[in-house]
Amino acid sequence: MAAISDVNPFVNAPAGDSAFARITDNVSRIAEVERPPRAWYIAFACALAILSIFLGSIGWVVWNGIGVWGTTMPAAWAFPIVNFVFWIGIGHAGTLISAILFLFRQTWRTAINRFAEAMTIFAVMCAGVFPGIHIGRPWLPYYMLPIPNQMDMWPQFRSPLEWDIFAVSTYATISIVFWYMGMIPDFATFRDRATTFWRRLCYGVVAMGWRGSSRQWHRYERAYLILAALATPLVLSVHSVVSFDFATSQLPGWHTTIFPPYFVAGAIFGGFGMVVMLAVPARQFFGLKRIIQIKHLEVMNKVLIATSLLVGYSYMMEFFVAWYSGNKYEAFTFVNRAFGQYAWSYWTMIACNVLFPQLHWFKAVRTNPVATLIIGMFINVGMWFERFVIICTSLTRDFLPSSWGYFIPTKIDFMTLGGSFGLFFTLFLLFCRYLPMVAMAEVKAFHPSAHAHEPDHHVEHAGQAPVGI
Amino acid sequence: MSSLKKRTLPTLGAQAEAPAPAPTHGSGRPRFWRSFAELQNRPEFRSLLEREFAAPPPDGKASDPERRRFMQLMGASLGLAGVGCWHEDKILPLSRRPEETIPGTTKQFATAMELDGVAVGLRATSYDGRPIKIDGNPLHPESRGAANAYHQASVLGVYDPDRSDKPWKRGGGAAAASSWDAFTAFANDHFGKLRGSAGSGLRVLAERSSSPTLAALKQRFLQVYPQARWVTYEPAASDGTRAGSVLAFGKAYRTLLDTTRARVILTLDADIFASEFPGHLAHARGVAKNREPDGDMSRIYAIEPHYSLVGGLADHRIGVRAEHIKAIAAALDAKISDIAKPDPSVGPAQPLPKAEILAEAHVAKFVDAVVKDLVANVGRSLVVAGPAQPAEVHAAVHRVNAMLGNVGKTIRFVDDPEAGAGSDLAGLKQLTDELMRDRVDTLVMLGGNPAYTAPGDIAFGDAIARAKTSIHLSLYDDETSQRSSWHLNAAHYLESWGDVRAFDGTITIQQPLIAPIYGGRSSIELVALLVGVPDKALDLVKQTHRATIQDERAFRRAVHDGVVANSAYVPVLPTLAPMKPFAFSERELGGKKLGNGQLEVTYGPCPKVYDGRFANLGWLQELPDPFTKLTWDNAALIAPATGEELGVADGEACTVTVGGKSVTLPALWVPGKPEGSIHLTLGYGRKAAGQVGGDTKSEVDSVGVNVYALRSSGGYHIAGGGSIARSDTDLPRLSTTNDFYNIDKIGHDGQEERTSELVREATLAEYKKDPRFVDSREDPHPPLLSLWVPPVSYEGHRWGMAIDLNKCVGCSACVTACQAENNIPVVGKKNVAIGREMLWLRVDRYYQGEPENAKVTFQPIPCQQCENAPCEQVCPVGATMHSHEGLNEMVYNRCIGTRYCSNNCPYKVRRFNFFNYNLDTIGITPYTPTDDPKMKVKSMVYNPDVTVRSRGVMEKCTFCVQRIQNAKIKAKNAKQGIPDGTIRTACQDTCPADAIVFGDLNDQSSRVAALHNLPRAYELLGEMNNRPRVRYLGRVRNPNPELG
Repeated sequence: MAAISDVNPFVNAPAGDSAFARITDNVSRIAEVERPPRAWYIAFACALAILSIFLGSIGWVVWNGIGVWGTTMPAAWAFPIVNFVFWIGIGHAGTLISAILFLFRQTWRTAINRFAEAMTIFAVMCAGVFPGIHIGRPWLPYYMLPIPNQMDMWPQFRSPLEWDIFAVSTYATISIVFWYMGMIPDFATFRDRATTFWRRLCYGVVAMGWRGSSRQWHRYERAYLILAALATPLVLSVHSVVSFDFATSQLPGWHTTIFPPYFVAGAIFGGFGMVVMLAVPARQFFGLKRIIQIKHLEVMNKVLIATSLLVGYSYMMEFFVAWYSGNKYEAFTFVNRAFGQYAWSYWTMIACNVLFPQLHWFKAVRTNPVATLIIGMFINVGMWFERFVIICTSLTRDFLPSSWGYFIPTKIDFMTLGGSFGLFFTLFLLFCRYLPMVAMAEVKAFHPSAHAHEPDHHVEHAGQAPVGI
Repeated sequence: MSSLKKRTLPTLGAQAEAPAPAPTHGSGRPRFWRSFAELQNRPEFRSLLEREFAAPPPDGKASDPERRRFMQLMGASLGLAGVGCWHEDKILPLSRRPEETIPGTTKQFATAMELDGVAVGLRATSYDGRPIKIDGNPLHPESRGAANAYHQASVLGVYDPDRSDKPWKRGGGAAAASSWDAFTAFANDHFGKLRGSAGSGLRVLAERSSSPTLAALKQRFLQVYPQARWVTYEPAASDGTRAGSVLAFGKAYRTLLDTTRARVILTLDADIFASEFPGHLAHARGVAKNREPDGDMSRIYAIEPHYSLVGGLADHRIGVRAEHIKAIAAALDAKISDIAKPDPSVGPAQPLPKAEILAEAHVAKFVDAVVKDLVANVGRSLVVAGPAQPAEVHAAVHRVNAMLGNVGKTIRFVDDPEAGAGSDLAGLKQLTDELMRDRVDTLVMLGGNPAYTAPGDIAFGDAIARAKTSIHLSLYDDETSQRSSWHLNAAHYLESWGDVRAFDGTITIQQPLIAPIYGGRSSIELVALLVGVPDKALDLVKQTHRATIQDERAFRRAVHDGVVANSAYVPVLPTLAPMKPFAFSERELGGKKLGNGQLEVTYGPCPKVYDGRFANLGWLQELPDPFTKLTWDNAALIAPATGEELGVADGEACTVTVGGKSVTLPALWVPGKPEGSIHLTLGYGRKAAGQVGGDTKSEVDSVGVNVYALRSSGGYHIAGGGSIARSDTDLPRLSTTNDFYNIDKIGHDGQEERTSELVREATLAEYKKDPRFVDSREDPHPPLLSLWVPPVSYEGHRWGMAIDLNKCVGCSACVTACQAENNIPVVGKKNVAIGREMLWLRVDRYYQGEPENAKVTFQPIPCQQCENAPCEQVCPVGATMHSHEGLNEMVYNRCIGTRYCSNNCPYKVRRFNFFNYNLDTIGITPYTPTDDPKMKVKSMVYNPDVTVRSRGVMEKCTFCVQRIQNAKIKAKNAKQGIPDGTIRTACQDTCPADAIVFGDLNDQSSRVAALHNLPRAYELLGEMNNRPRVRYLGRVRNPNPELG
């Protein structure tokens, strides 16, 4: 892979007079070169191929009926909902990084927040596909929306699925606005550097007349802060609401009060797993090693340890409460999860989510990009299995043994699952190609040279912020 | 009944006769039987019709027979009427509504269905001229309002597009479509010649029939063709029963059971509730009456080689090999004679056989306890032997019953109407020999499918070709038809006139509900044609009964009621004849352990497809077997111990070998099965059944495996020397609707742990001590509080249901009744295998205890119609809503299929249309535009009162809301209330045990309200505060204290 980074034109970016210029140059040139690196083309071709599998499988499902999936009775929700929760969870890291860490003044976030936010939006888009296509009549999802209509139908607001609609759509809206707003100064930079008419026009339009005046900066900073404050509760609420789909139902294994915090912790865990998975290749292939540093990976890996312990604790508490409740159905469900017909999926989950991340206690591991990448992958697998375990083991063995069953996925199930990564990566690669991958303005704000007049501050940040490239 | 009597006077055909005044109408209108309606038949009307329709338009298409047939069928479904005698029918639209015919309402007609020479009286519901539902006839002594799954599914058979629609002429490997006209011409010529030769070389092979008309025609036939011989063959028939009667009494008698009076019942391999057992519906009714724990509870014992329905209900049951039952029967005789000390004229008792099975502690204990109980209930006990058992068992049982004074009380004897007939099997064997020796020139086969059902050592199928002319009358162009030189398409019982007798002899006049859709003819009509008498079935039937049914009015009454008054056989009191001590084989005396190669193999008809004749009825193929819950397949049933010992895994392929022949089929481990015994189900592996059951010609795989080939005349019901071995054949996932017996330990323990919670049971003594035993539970639940206020006040009606687990025998007739009533699609084997069956009502089966002595309990599960319904709360689009009468209703149009409701339903009664099942597996919905006449015929079976669901929507039991609505409309029009019992759900209607009761809980005098208030009524998973509207009545077993 080193060969690919060799042809990356940005490794030896022209040196400028100031670090700001170098940062600008380094990030902007990614979107400005006529031809992106060959790796991008290869990756994009793969992503498009996978996307076409996704679209093909959806077409097949819509044409034939959702019976082409393995979804059955009693596992009336299976892969599609597992995928939905998985993707929604992925998104959380982005919001956490951009909003909560912003409020907590975690300056290291600036290196990764832009693509983490992009990841959020693309993950929510992937997630959004599933509720639409998993329903029996995929041409009618709008029945769930409160649209006044001549049929006098109205959604049923007691249903957690209805809450999902609002939670997810609010989340998607805020995330997009937040993301877009953060990009405005960088769009303006792109516009100013543009050499062709079309680039100038397009970036000019999306930059919305940004001039970089003090007044604009002032307004921008205020708005950013307000949006961050608005997005912060969403980090907690969205996955809590998603967890209500399960927690408010009667099914043993779903009906538990621990789900909201457990789901949020899991979502952040999975989301950070995805961020490191994306960050490692991105810094490699786009020459951003000086901006997304090992130090940043290390911090994220620490977050992974923390959240891994949180989910591990949740897994334990579920067992404890199942026993403590004295409810035989509840107790059975958990014993069955760990030792029943789906034990393999449970132990995959435990290994990926609880055991592997503990390797990050070792500094050598958490500062190694390759190890980071591999553990990030395991975490994503594990988090997918967590949702599979929750949904499938609970549904297949509920109250009456007569309706017990076993869910076996079909080829189409795997195509839809795998294909959704095609959608994600297609969008992500387009993002890398055309949009500012790193929040240049924000990075600069925390660059030592931005604080040259504050000697103390300078010293404090000297070791952390990106210096000369 | 009063409304029935008023509305459904049979409409009889006067056919070509001149219009005669009709007694009921008094006008000049003739009446026609076609169930559709009566026709306005004034001369001016007729001429008008003739002018309009006399000649078909000179358009080539109109003369196309397909199109003509299509027009006829469309006509039929739109409520038209026929003119003239049946083979010259014209079906024309009515220009005026006949009196008493309201389009869109249903009418009911009495008729009867016959199986193996035993008829059950039924009531067919006709909607605008097409039968859409079958129920029992309450006036019929052997139905008493109940019907079994075969009856329920028979209505599907009428519209089966695979039914033969024309005669076929075969010869030299070629098949040519023919016609009844061509056959009539051929028959006139051929049988004319045969008449000259007195019918030499003429043989008839008929399925068993109780029809007096056919019997009369048979007499006539044998007079016209004195050299001919008439053989009857039924694959499920037993020789043991008749031979046993001869052995015990010196004469053949038919045994009629009256379970109503029996306090102690012992069955020896006799499933008196099974659909193939004569009188089964009445038996279930009778037994259920005595299963009221507040009344006089009966006690049931069963000794049998595999679980039967009666074994499921039994208070005590032991599983022993079928061949060991003879020794047990002899022991019963010995022990009871010892106590009863019968008159020496009846001969000495059987000596106590030195059988190892009797030395088994649990068997000995069981037998002693049973003997004590039987003797203590003289005149109120009943011992029954099963048809598979040999003559000696039957004879011993007759003796025991006589000694116990049961004759004339719980048991009645009538003269066997077939006393002189020999064994079916011997008859078939002889006929095959004659065929092989070219003694038979003309072979006429009336129904049946002997080429398929003949045992492996009687190559009847190959022998058919030796006859120069072979004629097979059959509903389907089946295995036998395809080997015959003539296939004649038969009329369905719902399409023809006929007369049949119940097991007790009660005659029912069968009336057609619809014109023969495919132009078939009945056996009566065919034999009439062959003997050269006018072949109008109605006239022939009338003629037969001229002596007993004098006038037209009486005939109409008989047709209307579905029973001919006082036509039952007269009971007789036989006297026992002395018997020699039974001879026992080594196997019969041998012990429990058998080596592989020595195993016992038993054969029995399938509770779903019978001997294979119902193989093309999807409803029956998809009906889960009561015990194995297997659909679309047959399996070798073995004890778990046998499976473990011989390495035959549960649900995997095995090879069963008997007498050098083997079949490979799935093995299933079943509790309650004795070691060393294999049970095989007949009726599968059809090669020319149709698109559902298997058809080699059109490359449709057979359903299941044919085990007839394994069967031999030596080991017809019970064979020895069998072996079973693991097979490497790859089987697709078995389509069971329950788990296998052999699931993982966690699952198994989990089931054990909760079973007592789900099906609550007590012994009678426990019940007497604590009538509220259903509430005494280990873990009390917290107070039941709800977030939601009750959505409705339930003013007016509050529908509810009570299901008595103490009565349910698990026969599953309710499941098929529900399917017929509610247009439930068939999803096919693959979809059932992955859990997508659509049955709204299922019968859960729970085993408890050690595998060899496992107890079984059945629990029918419809939608519980919770008041605090978890499904309603989670539907995002409000597609499942609470009605103000407390029904949990589905709005199909609104449903988008999130399936959340199913996830949140603790009973998992919701079913989802993963595909457009009606279109995919049935090929049509009522809304599908088509010009294909066969498709049109298929869609005629749909109940027009029930929406046919499309792809992607959820569905579930509605408590037959269409019946509720119809009753409410009627009550409203009549400005009356709805008296209790007016509304009956489909499952309730057909239930032979009367285990299901539906009604209005607001009406405190209703039966269901009374049952809901019984101390042993409980809600399934009541601790979840769903407040289900279905309550189960806890099961109370009545164990013998001695067997504890």
